[in-house]
Order: sequence, then structure tokens, then C-alpha cells
Amino acid sequence: MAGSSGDTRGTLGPVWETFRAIACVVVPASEELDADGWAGFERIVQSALAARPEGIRRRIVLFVRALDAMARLRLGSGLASAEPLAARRFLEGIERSRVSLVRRGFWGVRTLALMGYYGRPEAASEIGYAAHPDGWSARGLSAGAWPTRSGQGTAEPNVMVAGDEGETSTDA
Amino acid sequence: MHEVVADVVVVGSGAGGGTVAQRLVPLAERGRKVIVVEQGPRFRDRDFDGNELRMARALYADAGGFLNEEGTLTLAFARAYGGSTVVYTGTSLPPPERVVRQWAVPGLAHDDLVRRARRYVGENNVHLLPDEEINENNRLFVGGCGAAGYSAHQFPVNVKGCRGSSLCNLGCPNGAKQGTHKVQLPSAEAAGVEVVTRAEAIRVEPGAVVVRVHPSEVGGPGTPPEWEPGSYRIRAPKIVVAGGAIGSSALLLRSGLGSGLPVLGRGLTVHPALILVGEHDHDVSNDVGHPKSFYVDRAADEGFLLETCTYFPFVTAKSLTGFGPAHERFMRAFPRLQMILVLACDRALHRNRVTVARDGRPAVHYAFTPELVRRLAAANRASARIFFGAGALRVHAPLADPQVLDAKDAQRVDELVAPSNFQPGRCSVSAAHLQGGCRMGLDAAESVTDSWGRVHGHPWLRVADASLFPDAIQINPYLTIMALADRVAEGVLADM
Repeated sequence: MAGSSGDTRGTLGPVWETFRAIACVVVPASEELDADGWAGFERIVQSALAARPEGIRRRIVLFVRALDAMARLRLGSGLASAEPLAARRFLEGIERSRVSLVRRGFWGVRTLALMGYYGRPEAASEIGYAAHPDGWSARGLSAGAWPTRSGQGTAEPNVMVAGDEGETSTDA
Repeated sequence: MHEVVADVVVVGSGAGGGTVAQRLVPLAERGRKVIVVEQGPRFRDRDFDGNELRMARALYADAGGFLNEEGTLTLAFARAYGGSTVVYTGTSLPPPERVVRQWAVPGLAHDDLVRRARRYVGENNVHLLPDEEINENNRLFVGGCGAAGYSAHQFPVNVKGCRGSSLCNLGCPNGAKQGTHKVQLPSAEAAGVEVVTRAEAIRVEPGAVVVRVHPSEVGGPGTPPEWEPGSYRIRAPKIVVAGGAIGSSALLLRSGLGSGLPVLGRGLTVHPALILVGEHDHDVSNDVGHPKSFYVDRAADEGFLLETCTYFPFVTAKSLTGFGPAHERFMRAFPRLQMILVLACDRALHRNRVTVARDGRPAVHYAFTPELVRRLAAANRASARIFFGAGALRVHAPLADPQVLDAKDAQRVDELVAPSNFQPGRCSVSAAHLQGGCRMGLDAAESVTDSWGRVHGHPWLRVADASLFPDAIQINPYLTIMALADRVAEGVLADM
């Protein structure tokens, strides 16, 4: 794991190495990111944090520090140097903690890691997500190219639609 | 502070405010000044580029990640010309009769709401999509419902010229969704109603709204504000607040109205939602076509709704519980994922409420009840049966233990999915149907407004949005909001 820490890295600067280690456990594929990939990852995370209230930013940093301290106690080393499987088991325990505050803190850190990885435009193509403003035509399809629905399982819609002047029922 | 004079000020331009704006056109045509102030920007269709994070940040409060004070629920509400009608999927259903009856608001009849809703069904082009526009994700839902014994209903939607981008929740890039930003607001503006965007209502006071107009974000999407950035006091004898359940409640609380209205901000309901996925052995085309075409309504019987849906990479990743290789395996199967949105029907409780933080920002307090968790579990079970009925190989169900169910577990769904597996702060719960806080009712002791949106004790002030709901609507709320706003506007016209 390369990369330096410092105040130039925004909110997470002081704990970046720990956060990056957590991100690699949350999304194992992030281990494969090159320098540009990590730069994109980091831009997303720091930008997201910069837009959040100061209190949330402070709590995130504190929680990452706390996680690292707990890992040192439990694993004998900080998360940045922990063995990957041990780090995963440790974080799984954190995620299932009986203490709501701990679960919620981890949920926040996990969310940031997922955002950093899956928020990259490259991630969409890596996972096969291909939504396009042109919709059907971007796939070389017209909507009518799809086979007709079987109708199995459908019920008469209980709705109002344009041009329908009849009595209306609802889904009571 | 700049001073502006008007006859009516409408705060907010979504399903409520946009509808009021259009219904006040007769006033504008008589030379009266009607001003709509909207906190968000005015977007052009080309601004909606489908980039998940960029659009979420541009369109939603806190980029869609607005957290409740307990840190257990994210709330999605839009800020834009057109409000949340810019980011919904256009689903347009009338209010259920049993719900309006249970609301028991004196002077509010279901028939009246339905009659008013019908107007917007026509104006906004609400219709059922033809078979050929239904994508595979929705077809699997219908087939799975048939196999599992559930009745799937088709959603009426208000699109026109839908190209199937599937990007509804990030703003339609093709202008197909007929929200108030496409129908009511342009019509109102053409008739002389003035809409000011990037205009945040700071407080209301008798006869005025204090507004701060913000400059455009450098390089950000949307047009600049119509007024010069700065602070304004807009004087008007009539004020209609339609900032949504959170925005309206917070605005009235910031304005000091809470002292005479003890339930102001209280009784918030949100239809807490989970996203479930089922993995198939073939591509599901979940990222093309209208995303939300069918639903199962078990609200009356089991307290939940199931809806087809399609989400984007980050939102999907966030919504799957867990992490590591198992989580990643689902994400790598993205094209093969069938998706179902589970919505639990919550009840209005005094303790679930909107307050205002010291910095003036809204704060939401929301706790899950055991009954609500039971409903989420029942919805998880139903969804798992539908996924397996549709042929899914594996299902991710947040309230199952283990959370990934294989097809061989299909007969053990009842045993494996249980309320006790729900851990707030571990399961990703979100909500976009935000209701209540300014509930209608008889008097100020138990409600904030009467059945015409008039705030008790403040005849100059009305509310016209989902904050009026005394309890959860138990279906997608937009047509009900428009019908209520139509009533509110009628009251304003009568006053003038």
C-alpha cells in the first residue's frame, strides 16, 4: 500500500492509511487499483466528506482512530499492517457489535469506502452497469424488441389513468 | 435586506408547491403577484447526465445521505425546480380509501381527493406502460409473484416519450417524466407566476417570508438564480408552505410557531425501505427501461409494499448489508441482479419528529418499533419467495441469517428470515416517502392545520405538501399530495 498521509489529504488525511486498509477489506478489489484509481477513490471520499457537517467529519476521523486502537488491542497491530483475513474477521465483529454506536460508526466508514470504489466511473463498467441516457436505443434495441410479458401473477390494476372517466377504486 | 411585495408567496415547487403555483394562475391573470421560492436550482434536461454521485449531490439534501439523529436511517429528498417530482419514478396512484378514512380528518373526504387527483392524472399524462416497454427486471417480478402467490399490480406512471434510460432517480435526461417541473410550473410561469430558484426560506412571519438567494456553485449544474444572491423579505398577505415534510416542519419551527402548535414536527412517517437483490443466471436488463413498473400491495394485510426498482452502483453497494468477498460477489453480478424495494408502512408516533438544530438545519428523530421491524421481516420473506419464484439462484435479504440465501433455502425462508436479525446501524435503511409533521386535524392541540391546510391560529399561513398527512399514506404519495395541494390552492383563491 503506497501513499502518504498529511493534512493536504483533507478530512481523512491524519488517518488515511488506516482508512485505506479498511477500504481494502470492505472492497477487496480495491487492492487492484493503480495510483490513478486510488487518486479517484480518494477524491470522491474527500469531496463527500467536505460537503458534510463538521460534526460528522470529526466523528468519522475519531471512529477510524478508535477502530485502529481496538485492532491494536485485538490483533496486536494496526489495521494498515494487519493480516487481511484477521482484519476482515475483526471488522465483521465490529459490524455486528452489540453497541449501536459502534455499528453506526462502522456503517459510516463502510459507506465511504463503498462510495470511493463504486462511485468511480470506471467501476460501472467493471461490474457491468451500463445505464445510458439514450436507454433502449443505446443498446441498439427498441423497447418493442422485448418479448411480451406472460401476465402470470398480474392482477387487474386498481388505478386511474389518463382518459379513464369511469369510477375509481383504490387499493384498499 | 431587499424588500419585495407580492400577494401570495409559495415556498417550495414540488408536487405540493408546483400544484399550488399552477392553481393560482387566475390570480396572476388578474394582475396579482404570485411568487414561488424554491431552495434548489432549475435544471435543464442536459444537466441530468446520469453520473450517480454528481447528480445525487446536485439534487438531494446531503447528497441523498441525510441521516436521522440516531444514525440508523438515510432520508432522500430533492431540492430542485419541481422538488422531488424531478427524482421520483413518476408513479401516480390515488390515495387508498381505507387510509383516508383512518386519517379521520374532519372535512376531508376520500371522494374529494380522488376527484382532484383525476385532474392531474390527465394533465400529467398518467398511464400504464405498454407491454413492450416493460424490462426483464419487472417481468421477473411479475413471474415471481405468480409463482409465489402474490398479486402484482402495474404502476400508472406519468412519462411522455420515455426512452428507458432507467435514470429516473437522478433526473430524467430526456425530459420524459411529467413532474411539476414539466407541467405545472412552466404553465404557471407562462401565465405570470414568478419562480425564484436557489432561494432558501429562512423563516416566515405574519405577512412575510425571509429568503436567502444563493449563488450558483462554480461549475455545478443548473441555471443561475433569477434574483441577485442576497437576503430578501417578501411581503405578502398569504403564504403557502410546501417544502416537504422535513422542510415545512423545520421552517415553521424556525419561525417560532411551535409554541402554539404542540404537535408541529411530530408524527413523521417515512415508509422505511430496504433494497433486496436476487441473482439470476442470466442478464436481467435492470439498467435499461422504466425501473418501477409493478408492485405488490400488502399494506392492509401485512403492513408492507414491494416495488420493482433499479439503483445505481454506489446506492446498491451501500444497500447490501455486509462487506468483503460476499458483498463484492453480488456487486460483480450486477447485470444479473433482480431488485425489489421493500417499503414498510410505519405509523405516526409522537416521538418520531422533525426538530431544528442550533444552526437552523432540520434534524430528524426516528426510531424503529418492534412492529415496524416485524413488517420489514415479513416483506423480506415475501421478496425472497418472489425472487426464488422468478428463478433466482441466490438472494440477499438483510433480515436473514445468513443474509445470503441459496435456492436450496427457498423452503426455509420463514425460518431464516426473522425480526431478531435486524440491527439498526447495520442494515441500510433508507426512506424517500417523507410524510407528516404538519398534520391536518381539528384543532391546535392535536394537529397543525385544518383540512384545507390552514395553520391553526395563523390565518395568513397554509401548508400544502406531504407534511399534512396525519399518518402514512401506505402507497406512493405524489398524487395525494397534488390533490391536497389543489384543495389548499382553492382555499387561497377563495380568500383572495
